[in-house]
Amino acid sequence: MKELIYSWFFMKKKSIRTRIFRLILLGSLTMFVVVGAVVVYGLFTMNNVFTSQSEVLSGTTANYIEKVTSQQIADRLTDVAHTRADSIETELWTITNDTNYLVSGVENILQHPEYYAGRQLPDPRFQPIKSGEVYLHEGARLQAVGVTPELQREISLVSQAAAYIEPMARKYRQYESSLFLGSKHGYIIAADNAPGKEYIHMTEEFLQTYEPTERGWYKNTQDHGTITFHDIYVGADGYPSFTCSAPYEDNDGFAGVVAIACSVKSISDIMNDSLLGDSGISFVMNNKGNIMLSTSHEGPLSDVEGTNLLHNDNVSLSNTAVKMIAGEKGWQIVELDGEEYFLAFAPMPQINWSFGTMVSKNEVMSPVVMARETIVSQVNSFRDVMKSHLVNIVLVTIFCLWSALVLLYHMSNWLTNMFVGPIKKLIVGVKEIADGHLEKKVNVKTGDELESLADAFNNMTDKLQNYMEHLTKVTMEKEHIATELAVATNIQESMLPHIFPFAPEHEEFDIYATMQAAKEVGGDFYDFYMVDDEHLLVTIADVSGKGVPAALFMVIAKTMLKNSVISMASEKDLAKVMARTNDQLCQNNDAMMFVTAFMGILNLTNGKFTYVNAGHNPPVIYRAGEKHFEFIEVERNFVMGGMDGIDYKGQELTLGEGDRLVLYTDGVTEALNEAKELFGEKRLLEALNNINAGEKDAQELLLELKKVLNDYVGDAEQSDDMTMLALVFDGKTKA
Amino acid sequence: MEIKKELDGNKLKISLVGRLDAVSAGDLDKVIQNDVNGIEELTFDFAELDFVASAGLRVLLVAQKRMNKQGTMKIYHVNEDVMDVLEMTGFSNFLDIEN
Repeated sequence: MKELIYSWFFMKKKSIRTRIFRLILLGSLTMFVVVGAVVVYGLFTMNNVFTSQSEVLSGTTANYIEKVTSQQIADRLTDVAHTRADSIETELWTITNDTNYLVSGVENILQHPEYYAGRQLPDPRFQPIKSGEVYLHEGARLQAVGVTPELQREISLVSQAAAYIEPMARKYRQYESSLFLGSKHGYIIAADNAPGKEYIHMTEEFLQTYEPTERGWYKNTQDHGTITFHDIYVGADGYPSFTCSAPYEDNDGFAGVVAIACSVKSISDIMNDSLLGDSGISFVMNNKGNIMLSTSHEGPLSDVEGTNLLHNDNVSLSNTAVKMIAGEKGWQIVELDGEEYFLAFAPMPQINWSFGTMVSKNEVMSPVVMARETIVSQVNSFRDVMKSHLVNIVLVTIFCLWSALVLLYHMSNWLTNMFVGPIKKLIVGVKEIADGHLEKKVNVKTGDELESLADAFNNMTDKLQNYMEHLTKVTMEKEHIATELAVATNIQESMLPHIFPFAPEHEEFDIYATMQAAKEVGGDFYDFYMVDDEHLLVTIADVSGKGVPAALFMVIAKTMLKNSVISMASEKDLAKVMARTNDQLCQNNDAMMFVTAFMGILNLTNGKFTYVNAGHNPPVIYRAGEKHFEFIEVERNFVMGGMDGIDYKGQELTLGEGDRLVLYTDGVTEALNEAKELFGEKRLLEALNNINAGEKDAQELLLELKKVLNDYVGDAEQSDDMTMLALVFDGKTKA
Repeated sequence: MEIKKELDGNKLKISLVGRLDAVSAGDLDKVIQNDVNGIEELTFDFAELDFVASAGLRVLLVAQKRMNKQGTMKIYHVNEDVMDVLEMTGFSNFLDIEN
């Protein structure tokens, strides 16, 4: 992968433009990716934190609200219980006071009969009784035995109690109520209130059979001997009725019972008022655990007679009952039918009862649950809103990044073009220059290194132009010289005998020579000519150095030699000719040029070959009898032109029929192959001996030798002039 | 070819390495023209000289003629090939060669 990226950016043959473009693009992309990653990470972190925190928050808030609310509800319920207990007790206490007041009134009448005159009260048996009107009724037993006069006097006296009863009855006229006293003698004095009715309706059965001394309220009160509250019963108007009674005495002791029976609608209202919620129950319990009053009509808290809370199987209820009986105030969570209730209670200390009110926890807590749900749902909806915003932010970010990328792409392009433009301009300019338009100037004004480069290019083209002009001039001059040199070469070549066969009229010999110059004009030369009809002169020479100076010196040497030879008297004077020529060459030879030369003269009549060697390579001779080449003996005479006054020693040998002489310059023995190895004299002999020279004429001999030499040199550059001369002596017999 | 020069007062030692051919003879000629002024004892070391062409011989001749006027010239350590050339051309008769 790394290699791939690397190759994508650097290795593949791409233009600078592409590379810069990619570099800018990659850099910016990296930045974008990093920024994008940071943004996405931030958003996700925020979302996660918010999600977890919102759950914690909603949970905590809801729990707090629940706690506070339940405390408040309990407190409020307790307050309500307290207030209602006070209210109910007050109502009950009023009735109790009224009862006591009536008792003291009746007892006052009985103990002080002298203060009271008799009074006749209406009897319901004989006339209708109005609501609130005090009446006298004789019980069933009294009706049966009849009223004695003494009793009549007492009745008449006690009837004065109407003065107490009547005003008090008015106090209760709004309620279904009865205020009455029952004498031990079997009569009652009473006032009944029936709100909304003018007369009190009394049944015949009541009028005939009612016996007060047999009734529960009478017996209980007599037994109790003090003020007594009776169990609640449902009265004629359908409301629970409440009776408070107290005994009264005459001089003989117990004389009867005073009672106020009152519909407890007001208490009922109070109890109903104190209800909380639909499931609420309010109740009044006496000090024995009996439910005296209740808004419930069934179950453990019903007002059905005999319902006892203290003995209830429900532990939470019975425990609460214990606290209520003990006169405590407070609240308790109780369980009823598997549901939890708040039960608040408060005592009624005057009558030793207790008031309780309870409400379903679920019901009162429903707002809390709702609040919790509301909070959770609000948090959730907020979270959803936030999420959608997050999505929007991400979308907007993506859009922005995309737009930025597009912008970036174009900007990178633009930047790259701006950067690469001058380079392209430079390339175009340089190409034009390369095509030969040296006058072309590259115009780049970027003020940076590229401008310097362009300036350098312009400078270079200026110099190139100057150089080209100079070169053209020099080349022209050189061409001129070359032309002249070619002419010189021509002249030089034409100076050497080059028409073959030479002297075909002389069948005694066959001669051939070649010169292959290393440069245009060489320093080697050969020469041969007939001195007279019987003498052939051959020369081969090599001037030190090469080129024009060597060629000039060669011309001088050749001319001088020939002139000297022509004026020569006899072939024995050849060494002297050499010495004379040497002296002439030494004159004015400031350049210290010299020439090695071999010169020989052949007497065609007898094969005698007289020769002088001036520092030249020894020629080889082929003896036809031996069919073998060998070097001839040469004197080590000094070169010509090096020093004057030298004596050259001549030598001589005799050529037989079919003998051959090969003359050459050091260009042959010193020819180099590609390994820079000299051809050498040994190879020369070997080559010649392999040619089968006896059957070859002079030209064939040299061509064969040249072929061997060319093979040896191969592709190596020719280092020196190569000059060869071959002479075949065919013998005097053919002359 | 490489030309090594060792100057010691009025003594100059020239060591030649490689081939003294037509091209390198020009270089040696310049050395002889420029560096031999006032030299009384000129020595050549041919120990590493492989070959001498005729142009090289010319420079030796120039040097010899010059030293004939102002001092002495000696050549040392001439190998066989070079010696052959010197003998063939007769230069060995005029040069002071010691091995």
